[in-house]
Amino acid sequence: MFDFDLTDIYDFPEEYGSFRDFDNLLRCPICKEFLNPTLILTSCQHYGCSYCMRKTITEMNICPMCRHSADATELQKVSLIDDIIKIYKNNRKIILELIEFKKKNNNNRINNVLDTKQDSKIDNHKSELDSKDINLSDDGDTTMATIALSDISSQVGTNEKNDTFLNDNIEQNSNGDFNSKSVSNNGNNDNDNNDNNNNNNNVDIIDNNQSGNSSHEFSSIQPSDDEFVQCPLCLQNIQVKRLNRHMDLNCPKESPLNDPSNNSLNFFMSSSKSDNDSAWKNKIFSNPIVKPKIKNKTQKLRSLAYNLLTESKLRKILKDLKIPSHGDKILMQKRHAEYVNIFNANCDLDHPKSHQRLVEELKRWEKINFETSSPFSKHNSFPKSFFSSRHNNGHNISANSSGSSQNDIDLEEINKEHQSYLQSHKSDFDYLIKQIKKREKKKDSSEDKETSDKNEPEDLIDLDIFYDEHSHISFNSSKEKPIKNNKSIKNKVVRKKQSDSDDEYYEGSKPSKKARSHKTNVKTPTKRYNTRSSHITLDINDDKQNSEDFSNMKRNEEISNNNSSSHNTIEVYEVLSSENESTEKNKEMNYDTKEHKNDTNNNDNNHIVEIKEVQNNSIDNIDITKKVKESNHNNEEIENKSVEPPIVLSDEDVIMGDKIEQKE
Amino acid sequence: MAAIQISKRITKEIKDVLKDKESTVELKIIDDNFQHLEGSFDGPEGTPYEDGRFVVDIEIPNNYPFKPPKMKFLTMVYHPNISSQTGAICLDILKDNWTPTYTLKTVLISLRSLLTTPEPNDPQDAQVARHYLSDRKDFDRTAHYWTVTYAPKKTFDGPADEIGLDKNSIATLCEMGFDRISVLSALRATQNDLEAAVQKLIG
Repeated sequence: MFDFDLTDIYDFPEEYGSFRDFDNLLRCPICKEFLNPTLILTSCQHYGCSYCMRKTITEMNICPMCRHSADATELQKVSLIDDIIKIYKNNRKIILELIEFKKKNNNNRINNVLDTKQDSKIDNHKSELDSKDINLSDDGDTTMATIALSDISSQVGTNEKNDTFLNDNIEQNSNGDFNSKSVSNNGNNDNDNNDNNNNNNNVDIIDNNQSGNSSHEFSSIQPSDDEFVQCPLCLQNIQVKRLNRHMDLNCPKESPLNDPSNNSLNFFMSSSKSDNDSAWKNKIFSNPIVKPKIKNKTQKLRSLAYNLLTESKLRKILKDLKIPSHGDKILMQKRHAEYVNIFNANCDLDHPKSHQRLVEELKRWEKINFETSSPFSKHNSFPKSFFSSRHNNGHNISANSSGSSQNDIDLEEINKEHQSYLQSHKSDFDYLIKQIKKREKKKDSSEDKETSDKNEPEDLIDLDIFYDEHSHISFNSSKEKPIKNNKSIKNKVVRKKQSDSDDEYYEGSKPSKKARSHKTNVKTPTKRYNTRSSHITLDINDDKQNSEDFSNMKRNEEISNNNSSSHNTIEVYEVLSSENESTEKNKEMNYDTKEHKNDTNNNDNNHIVEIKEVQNNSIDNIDITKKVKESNHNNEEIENKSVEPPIVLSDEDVIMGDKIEQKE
Repeated sequence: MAAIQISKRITKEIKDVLKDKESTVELKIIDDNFQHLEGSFDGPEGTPYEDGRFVVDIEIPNNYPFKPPKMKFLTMVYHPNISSQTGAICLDILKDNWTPTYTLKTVLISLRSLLTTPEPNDPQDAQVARHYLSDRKDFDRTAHYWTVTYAPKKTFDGPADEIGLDKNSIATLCEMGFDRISVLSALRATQNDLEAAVQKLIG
């Protein structure tokens, strides 16, 4: 599948149009390569490469040629065409060269008639031939025999070179073919002779009548690495790339898998020379085409009705096929469909590739189709490692994509990707967090202005300072966690922590903020801001609503009514504190604000410290509130709050916000 | 399937186009990985697009040739099936009727024949299609004007302000004694219609 021949029908000159047509017939109409292997649609008799046909049919359910609706079951292999192509491919170059020869000779003949000086002609022609050699070797049909092989070979095939050769005699062309074949298959030619024969040929061409060893100069042709050749020592068929090693190891028996089932056989042996009989014999007994083909008996895969499969089932199927099973269902579906194509196309081949190779092909396909431009990659269907690679330019991904034979992407790799992603974007996260902090602060301060302007603008300054300090603490604690641990914590986690701490911060530090967050649920929000004491009532009522414990409220009232001592109030707050942390904090903050109002700046500083502690250790809240309470003994506040009609705020979970009249 | 396959096939297609001297189709590679090309062809003879050379932007999808290439006109074309704004093309083989056996060359030739035979009943540009159906003659004139203005086949050898205008008409009108500049503007306004230009100049 990956031979790099760039041959096409235009290799043949225009006047040999029939060769172009013939060449074109043996090419896949889809990929424009030689059919490999040929499949024919039984319904409409159109043909193509196995992979191309299968792919077209899975993609569009039509015949690529006539758009006739088609099904993969209608595809049938045509091994006759495959054999023809094999032989044709091996001899194509020779045909081309013969055509070239003929052209040149025609020119030369004309020249000969015109010019009687033969010697100069020979020289000219030689140089022409040399230049042609270079051209040929550049041409790139890699399936032919090589010098290297002819080096090893021992026997020289004899051939007559007649003037018929120059007279467009196809049979004579085939003579040339025979020579090249014997080079590639049975090693009947000697390279040294080739060189000599070049000269002979030149003379032949010019004299037009001499006969001799008509080996040719096609020796620059190289076989591809996957081509099978005969070992010169033990006559086994060995892949070219393994040949050296094979001979180094004193010709061990090759496993049957490496045995070629069908090497190219020379069909062009039309020469009736008796010398060739022995050659025939040799071929018949040595050429693997006579041997029964080692057929891959693997069952072809069938495409599945993906709609009827659950994701887990499909994943299991993929696992059973030993192909990667990551990604979501759509991706797995596409991957499976592609694998079925590759696998079935592979089954059609005479030399099926290994599973690993198929998986690599599959991986390459997936990388190309899903990583860059396909809409799939934009969704989450791709594993994180692939996904993030698009952001982390070239980071870590090269190892993933380049030829490593690992099929699955390990969890470790994914984790690595996560880590590197987090680290490389840490500054961005920090920046975003700061931005949000700033924004919130601005909102807070503006709102505070609105609310507090009415009553006590001097408090605002103190509060702001306090918020600043506090926010700093919460920010630090949230930010450092993921970095310290340095584990693959997802972006989300970081964000979540941040938002949690934000909540804490708002709830704990600032009652007005909390009130703001409930704004939508409160029917008469403006009332809350009427007086400073209303803050407190709000939050206490909050608690009350959460616990639905009116006794607390009653107690509160009692306390306020009776001008009770600080001891009593502490009790109340103990009860309240058992309800939930956030409300506790609110209470606490209420008391802070109270103090702000009543006390001096020195006191404020103390409270800031205390609040810090609260933030770090919320369990201690009760004690702190106690302290606060005890130190202040501000019963007046409580009185005030009980007098005010409280507004019950709904919590975030509670939808309704009700206004409850307080009974005295 | 893979990038190699695409580049191999595109290489062959380009060679195919190069070898074919009869069609006026040309292909040019824009980026290195063979996925972005530029095709061009001459306007078909006997149509208002006759004197133009039209450039088409070609984008090769990853699963080419199993998916059609994305094409749009870079040249402005006045045609019912081609958007006069974006150059988007309404051609069935670029959409549902694509098969992998089509090549860039065949598509470009199809585009050329689309210029010959517009299909106003399945329009891309409704306004142009309406024009085509209501006043065919006027449509042809406009299409030709667009062609010579936006898709001149060869670089215009006259003065820059005469681009897109018929030289003979200018000469005729100037001989009539009209001011050259007003002749040019009149011709431009009437889209090279000599009689209308005379009317305009007189009126």
